[in-house]
Amino acid sequence: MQNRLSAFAKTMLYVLLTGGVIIVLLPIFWTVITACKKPGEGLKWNFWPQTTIVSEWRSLSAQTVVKEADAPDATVRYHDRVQFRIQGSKGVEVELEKGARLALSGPDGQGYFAGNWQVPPGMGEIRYRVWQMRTFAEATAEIYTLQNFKSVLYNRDFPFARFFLNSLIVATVSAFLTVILCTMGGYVFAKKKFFLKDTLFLILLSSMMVPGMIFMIPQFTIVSHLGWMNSYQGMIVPHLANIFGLFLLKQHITTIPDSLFEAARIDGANELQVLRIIVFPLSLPVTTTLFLLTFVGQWSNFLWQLIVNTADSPFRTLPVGLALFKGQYNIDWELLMAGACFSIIPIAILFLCAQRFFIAGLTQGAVKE
Amino acid sequence: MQDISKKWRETLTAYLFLSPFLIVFFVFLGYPVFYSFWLSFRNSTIYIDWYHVFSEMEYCGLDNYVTLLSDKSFWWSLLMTFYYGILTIPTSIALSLALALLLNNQLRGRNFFRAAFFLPNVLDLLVIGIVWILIFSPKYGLLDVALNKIGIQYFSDHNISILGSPLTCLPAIAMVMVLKGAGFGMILFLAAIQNIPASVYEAAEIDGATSWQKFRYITIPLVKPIILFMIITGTIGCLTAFTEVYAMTINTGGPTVQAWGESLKSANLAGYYLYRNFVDGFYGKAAAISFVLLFIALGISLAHMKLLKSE
Repeated sequence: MQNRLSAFAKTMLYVLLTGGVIIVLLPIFWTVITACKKPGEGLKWNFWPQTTIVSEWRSLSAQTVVKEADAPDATVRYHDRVQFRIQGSKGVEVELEKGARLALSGPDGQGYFAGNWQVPPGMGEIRYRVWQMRTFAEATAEIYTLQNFKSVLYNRDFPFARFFLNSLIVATVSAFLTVILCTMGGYVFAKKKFFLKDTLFLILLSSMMVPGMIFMIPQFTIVSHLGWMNSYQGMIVPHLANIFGLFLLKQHITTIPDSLFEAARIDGANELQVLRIIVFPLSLPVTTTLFLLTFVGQWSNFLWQLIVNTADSPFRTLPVGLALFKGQYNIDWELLMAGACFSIIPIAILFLCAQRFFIAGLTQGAVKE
Repeated sequence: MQDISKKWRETLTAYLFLSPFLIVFFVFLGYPVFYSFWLSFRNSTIYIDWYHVFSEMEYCGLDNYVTLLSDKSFWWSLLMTFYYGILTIPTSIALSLALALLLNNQLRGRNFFRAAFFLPNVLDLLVIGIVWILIFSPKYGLLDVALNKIGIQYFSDHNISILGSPLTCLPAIAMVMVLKGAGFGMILFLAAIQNIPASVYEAAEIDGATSWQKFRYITIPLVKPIILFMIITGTIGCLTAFTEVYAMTINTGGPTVQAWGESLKSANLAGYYLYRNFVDGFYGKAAAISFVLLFIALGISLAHMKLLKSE
């Protein structure tokens, strides 16, 4: 059913969908914005660079020669005039009482703006404030910086460059091995008749219903008995038996015609060659899907990786590193979000490049159920 | 004779090919179910260290289950999990279906919208949870600023986060999860709706059906399997919900509430409660919890399947 819409309905639809997309993607925008803010700016409602800054009202008392300590530069009052010398970049104006404004001239060689104001006779205290104009770039640099990414990558206790590498290794190796195991298993279940096939299939199927938490404690025991705490294999191996993946592959391989296999056998191919020449190339779209789904799943598998890594493990992955980083310090939000960017930006890009594989896997998975 | 040996050869090859998968499956998924069951009847006597945690376990019969049933915080965690399910499952089904219906119109950029709505699904839940802490913060968080704009000053005035108030903590977590997961259901519904032949709707139109009638009597029955699928995965998701609570309550389980004469944590869902018991060294009790959760999940799934089949 594809409805044809009136122009008004269409506009409403676009407004609704765009609003929805903004809300749904809000966390990504927020992560990136916070990660780019200077330390201390992350928790302020301050996003738009201010090209004009206005100082507090200051005052100079009568008759004395004063040098203001808090002023950026010297503002000196002589008995009949005030001399302003203020550092700035684009333009500086001094607003005096009663709305009089004095534009300072400059800047000079050292970036100072200067000007004189004649004090009306008998005036005791002079109140003024400084308006400074800055370039947009300067104003931006006051709020935003790219330094966070650098300092989080090479942090001594929380080296996110290393976490990133760990995540990449764990996710890639897991995805690769899962695909191989599932393709071999899927081939056998699709094309072979063997002892206890149906029973085995049922056992595998039913284990999909069990919530993951049941496996957690025993898996932890096994891993710690094997001495696999703080290691790549401890994070990778326990999740390799991907039953969803096995079914995905089984279903796909069932559709490969038997005649192809018979032809290969007549040509004298052994089972491994059949796997290499027929099964792997012909199931490439499905294995790509499974590879990506496993990759993303392992990339953000938090609980298990938190359990098999101690707090100082060099094998901490990105989510574990982030969680411990958050727990360790008085939360340094700008740095934390810079670390988070290393986790979500690559996955977002990967998804956008390969979305049809993700969506295909999902739809096939649900149709099966 | 030759036939039989051929059959056995095929079985042998099959198991050879299956062996890596089966070894991993039985060691890390099959055996753990039984081990967990065994563990749920044991108690740890002393806590040794992280690497030898199970060396001093003692048989204790049904003690763990009995303790659980008399443990108010366990019942509380089940109640909160139920509440969380009520908050998340119907809303995410409704939102997904609405998005799918919206995207089922002829419009340019449909693929863009589809991808954008689905994108949050593939992102790291821990990270998303942490970012939302910022968005929920008082005064400078986007949501609180928006609330101030429409006149709700409560959070800013008291300087508490939306996640820091017992009443709003769990709904806030639920909202995050619904937004993150909406694209998932949307894709499923979209696929199902596009599979409905246009002729069915045309026939209905000839019979004078209104849009609502077409939706109610054609679309809904045909996407029912998807609804069932989402209820079951949603149920399992709620029963094992952990990362979202860990991330958004900064590993505390949420603000404290006084109920049943005890101090309880307002976002202490069953999955998080299990994790806390595990971390605190109550391995037997944690295993017992996981079995209670398994039976609840199975019960709910079977009930739903029966219910939807019988209709």
